[in-house]
Amino acid sequence: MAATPVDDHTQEFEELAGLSALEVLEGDERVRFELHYARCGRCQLMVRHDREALRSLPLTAPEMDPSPDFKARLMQRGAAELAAQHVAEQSSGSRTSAPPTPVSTPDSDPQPRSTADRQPPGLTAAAQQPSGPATDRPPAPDQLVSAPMSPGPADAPIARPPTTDVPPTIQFPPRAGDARTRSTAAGPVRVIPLWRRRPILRTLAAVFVLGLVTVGAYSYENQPVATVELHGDAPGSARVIIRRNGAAELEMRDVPDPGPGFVYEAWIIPQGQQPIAAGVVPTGNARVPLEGDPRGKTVAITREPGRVNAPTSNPLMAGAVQS
Amino acid sequence: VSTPQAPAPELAQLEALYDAHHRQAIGLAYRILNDLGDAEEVVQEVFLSAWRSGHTYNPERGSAQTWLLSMVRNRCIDVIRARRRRPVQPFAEGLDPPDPSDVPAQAASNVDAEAARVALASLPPEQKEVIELAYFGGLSHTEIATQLAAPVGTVKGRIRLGLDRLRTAMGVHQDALSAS
Repeated sequence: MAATPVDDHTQEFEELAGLSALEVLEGDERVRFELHYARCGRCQLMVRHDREALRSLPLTAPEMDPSPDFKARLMQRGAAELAAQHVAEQSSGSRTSAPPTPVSTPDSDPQPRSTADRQPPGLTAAAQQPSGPATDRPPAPDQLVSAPMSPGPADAPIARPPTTDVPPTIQFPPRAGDARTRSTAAGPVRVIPLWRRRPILRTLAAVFVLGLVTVGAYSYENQPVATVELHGDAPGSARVIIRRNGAAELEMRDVPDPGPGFVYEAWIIPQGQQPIAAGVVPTGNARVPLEGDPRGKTVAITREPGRVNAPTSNPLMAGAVQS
Repeated sequence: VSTPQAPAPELAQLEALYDAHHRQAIGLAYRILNDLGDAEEVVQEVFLSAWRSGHTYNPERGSAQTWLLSMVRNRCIDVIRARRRRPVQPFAEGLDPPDPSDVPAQAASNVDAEAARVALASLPPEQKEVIELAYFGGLSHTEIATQLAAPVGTVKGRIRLGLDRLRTAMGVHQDALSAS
């Protein structure tokens, strides 16, 4: 690596190189140093060598024993992660190749279910339904629309409300809050909401909810979460707007136009690395998306004769974006 | 006759990682955090993180230890800065595994603990102090200046001189710097 300093290299930059290697450089000094560092071979080499020397410093800490149960706790965490990974792999495999697994309740009996449960889904005659006390736990849809079911041990926790006067074709599984029971002379009658009786309404409701969720998620992800002002000698103002999803925009206001044949070019400068071209701004009043994630990096603007891959002039404005 | 079931290979890797480096890692975390509970929490997360990216871990590579300890140090500094509610400057090296082609880094990693202690101890006390406050304390030069009631410029100068001495003491190759 060349160790040639650039013209503006001073002793102060060598001090800042040490702070950069220690990763404690902040604020304007950090911005100033990174802009210099990007062009100065000597500072690049100095930071690299300082880091090499610092890499051995952790070894100077005296060794120490942890708590007696620390290893056990660590291994338990590792085992738990492996188990979770195993379960995830199993479930993804069964989702693609195996038929849907009947839903079981936590307190269900592990015995095999009756052959009736393995029959293809069919409509249930109300009279065949076992009656029993209702529970708070809603049964799975495939368990209720498929039948006949025998009241075996595995089915015991899944109680079904009386359905004597509900035609089989509109027999839907009760879910919390969407079915009520009222009493009539003939006995209790389940009231099924309209949207659950008409498939088209159900579909429309699902689409509506899905749309709301999508729009909500999009809006949330695009919320601005930070604004960073860029500072420099140029008149006007410039700022970087960071959105929650990491997308960023550069907004310039009242900056003089760059002049015929010139543009403003934005740069994202990762710490200790070369500037990366991040977009071109044709005028001094514009908002453009930044190409790249500037979080934890420095953003700078230079005036260039068209889009270039490396800055050819000193930055007009710059600012450090926190991660 | 039943024999005990061998641990899964993955868990065996985690155990090997632990057995090889836990005392050094706990010592470093405690040195920075001064709290055994916090130190163990950090070390646990680092070991699990290193274990998850196990394909990058090679016990025969000398740099694995410094890589692991760098992760411990970085996480500890994060904890310290979070305690101070100060924005955290990203670490350029993050959790990246060591680059086997980085020969100087490999050489530096081979410096054993005793040599590192000797090198650090060879610094003048005022230089050693500022480097330790920055490296193990995560303090900026302005914070160090405040803590020591010394001018900022003095602290910067001491850090620079201290790093120069440390490089020499550690045997870091610096011919190119001397020549220019």
